[in-house]
Amino acid sequence: MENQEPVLKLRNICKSFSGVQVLNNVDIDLYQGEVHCLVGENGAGKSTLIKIMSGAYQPDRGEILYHGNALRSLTPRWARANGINTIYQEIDLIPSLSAAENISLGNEPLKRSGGIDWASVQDRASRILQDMGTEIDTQVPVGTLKVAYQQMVAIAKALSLNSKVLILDEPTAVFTSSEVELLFSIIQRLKSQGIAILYISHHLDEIFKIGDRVTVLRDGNLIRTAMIAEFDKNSLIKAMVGREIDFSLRNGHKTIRDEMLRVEGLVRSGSAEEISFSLHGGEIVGIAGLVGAGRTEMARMLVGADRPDKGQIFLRGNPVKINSPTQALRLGLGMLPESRKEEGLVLVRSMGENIAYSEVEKSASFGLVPWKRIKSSVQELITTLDIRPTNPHTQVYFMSGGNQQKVVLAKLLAAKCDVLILDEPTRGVDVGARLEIYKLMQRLKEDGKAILMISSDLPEILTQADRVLIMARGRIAGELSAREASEEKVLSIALQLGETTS
Amino acid sequence: MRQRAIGQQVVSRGVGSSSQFIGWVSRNSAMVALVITFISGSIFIPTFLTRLNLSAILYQYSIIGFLALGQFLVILTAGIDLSQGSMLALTSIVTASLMQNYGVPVAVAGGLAASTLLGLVNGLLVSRTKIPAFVVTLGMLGIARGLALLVSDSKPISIGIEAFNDFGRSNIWGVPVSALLWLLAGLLLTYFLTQRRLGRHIYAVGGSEESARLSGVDVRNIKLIVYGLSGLLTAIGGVIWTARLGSGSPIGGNNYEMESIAAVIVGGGSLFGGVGSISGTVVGTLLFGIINSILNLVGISPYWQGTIKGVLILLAVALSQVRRATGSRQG
Repeated sequence: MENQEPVLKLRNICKSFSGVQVLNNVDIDLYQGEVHCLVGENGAGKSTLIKIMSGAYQPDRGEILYHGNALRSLTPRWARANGINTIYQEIDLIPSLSAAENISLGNEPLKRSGGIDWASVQDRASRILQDMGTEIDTQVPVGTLKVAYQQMVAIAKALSLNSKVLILDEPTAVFTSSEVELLFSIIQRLKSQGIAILYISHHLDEIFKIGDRVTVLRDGNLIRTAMIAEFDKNSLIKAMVGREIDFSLRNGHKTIRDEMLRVEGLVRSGSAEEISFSLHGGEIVGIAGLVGAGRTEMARMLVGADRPDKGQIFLRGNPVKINSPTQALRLGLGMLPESRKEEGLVLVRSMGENIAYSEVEKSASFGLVPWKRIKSSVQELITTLDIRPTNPHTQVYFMSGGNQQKVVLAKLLAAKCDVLILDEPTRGVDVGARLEIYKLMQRLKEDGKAILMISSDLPEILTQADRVLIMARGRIAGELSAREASEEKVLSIALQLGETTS
Repeated sequence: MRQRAIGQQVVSRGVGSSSQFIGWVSRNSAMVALVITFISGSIFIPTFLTRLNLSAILYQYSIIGFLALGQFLVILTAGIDLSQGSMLALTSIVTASLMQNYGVPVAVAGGLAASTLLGLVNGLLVSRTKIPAFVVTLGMLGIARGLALLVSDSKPISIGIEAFNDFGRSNIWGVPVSALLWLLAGLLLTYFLTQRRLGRHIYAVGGSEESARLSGVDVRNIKLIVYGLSGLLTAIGGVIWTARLGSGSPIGGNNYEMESIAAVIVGGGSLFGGVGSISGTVVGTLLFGIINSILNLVGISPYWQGTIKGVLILLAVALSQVRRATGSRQG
């Protein structure tokens, strides 16, 4: 393998987004008939790298060689037409069309009359799926198939285009173990047919099972590329983590107050299995876990955006049934959503209105909105949270990410929330604003608020949280106190559960 | 739509057990409703099942049927065309005003060109800008109606050429020629949508625009074409309408787009795009024609008629939601 030419070779790839270096001089190469695994923590640059390989992003610097030829620029269309195919988690199929038609879409075989040759469409689909060693009903709309089978159809579509390179982005995220086995047998076949496969997964056991080589990224840097046999699980985890921690401003002592929130046996099919934990006033509990572990799904259940199938939520000791986020707010339970722009803020309205939104909601039952009182409380919040600009009439759209985040927090505080769920509170905010948000969280904690912080940023969790709950595959896989917690420990809990369940 | 509007062989399912029968009924609810209303109309209303009444239904609804075919193509791509009624009026005015001086062929060609052109403008705006189809065609609704009023000086234009007017009222063995033309158009479009690449790509665009684009489907031109076809089909309906009336009217076709949208939805189309069939749209159109006729024959006030039709549309959509929910659970 080593003495042949790589099919696809990327050299010195650099990419930054609005000043943040996401990839820094990264090299990677794929050989015919190998399964090359790409691993790294959330935010290590894996997605950016595969988007560059598939032409979705252009690198700032660096070289892409395909079959030894340097490509000047790579577009998604060119990549597909020339055998580089990416299967993303969100599957690119047309749900209302059949599998057979999806496979041939854009490349339909025609009869001499110019009409579509449906028999050939059907044959092509059956033949490819047979070659893959899988049986799928090719006639029903793809949207009615299970996700795993949709994934197979997407792979079949890629193969129909004469794929040389197949990039699989977390293909098993929603698979059952038997579906994983099926996918692996397909991958083995494709490998023996000489296709180069780039396999991205958070499940290390999968990587040791299927991979030939592995490339580790950390913070946008290439850490190491080596044969999989040169690693064991611990050394691979070590390679993935191990960056310096700053932001350590948590004050050691905490005064635990009353229990504010308790969750018992929360179940929702497909996203949560028997989740139980409690949260006290005056503490910050961090929820760690990989993307897709079910953290946001759990938060949505807590605030009533989704209904649990089973389980009970207690607020300040009383059992409650929360049917909507509005009701949660009334009960003093507020959430700062992951996508603040879509769920948390009305961007075109003024900051003041956004902050007062839930308060208006609360007082609207009296018929009249007490604007005067609201105005003064808004002004007070702007000062306490140090939101800038301070003018409440500023349109939120024009504010920086960090300040937008503060506006959402102010909104929750205006609604008198004392249980706060913060989903990725520092995503997309710069370093300075990040520190301010941390300070604010610590202050809210000292005021006796109970804070549940979901974060994919491990250093953030380790520096801010008093306790860490680690989620994996819809359940709480472990709990660590601030003193016990380390990146290695958290990550190994988050990763190793994959081994025991699949 | 679990039935194969998908351009492939329908897997024949015997209607053996009762659950299969119920499944068949729910998949073909518009057809079932059509048969039921037709039979009950025939039984309870003496003047319903007469040649005069049936051909009256076909005369009127074959014209709305042309609009519905165009509307279906647009809705298939998750778009909407609100300008059909106004475009019909413009075609009618253009045809009538060219008739006296330039003769039938030029007048008909001009009438067809007028709405097709406006349809293409709709398509250009929808596919090349980020303006939503709703807004684009709402604008065109105003523009086309305004042009029709402007050109005609807001007066009807009568047509003196009897050969043209006769065409609008002609029939073969009692079946209006316009209805035959409508069915012919339906058959052609069915072939086009199920057997031709372009037709399948229209389904693909409506199913998932981004996926279609990534598969190499020319999304922009597909959209341009469907709005152009909606204009052309509206124009054909408009020319026939003008001939039947024997004059051009700048205020004709008012609210026809509502009827065509309703026919598409009742016939199994979805405003989210990607599903439905021409045959469903034809059935939906006929169903509205029959209901309209029954309401008229029973002597229900026009004010009530609008309300009743509105309720029927809501019911049909609610039914299709239930159908989709159970359908996906089966899958």
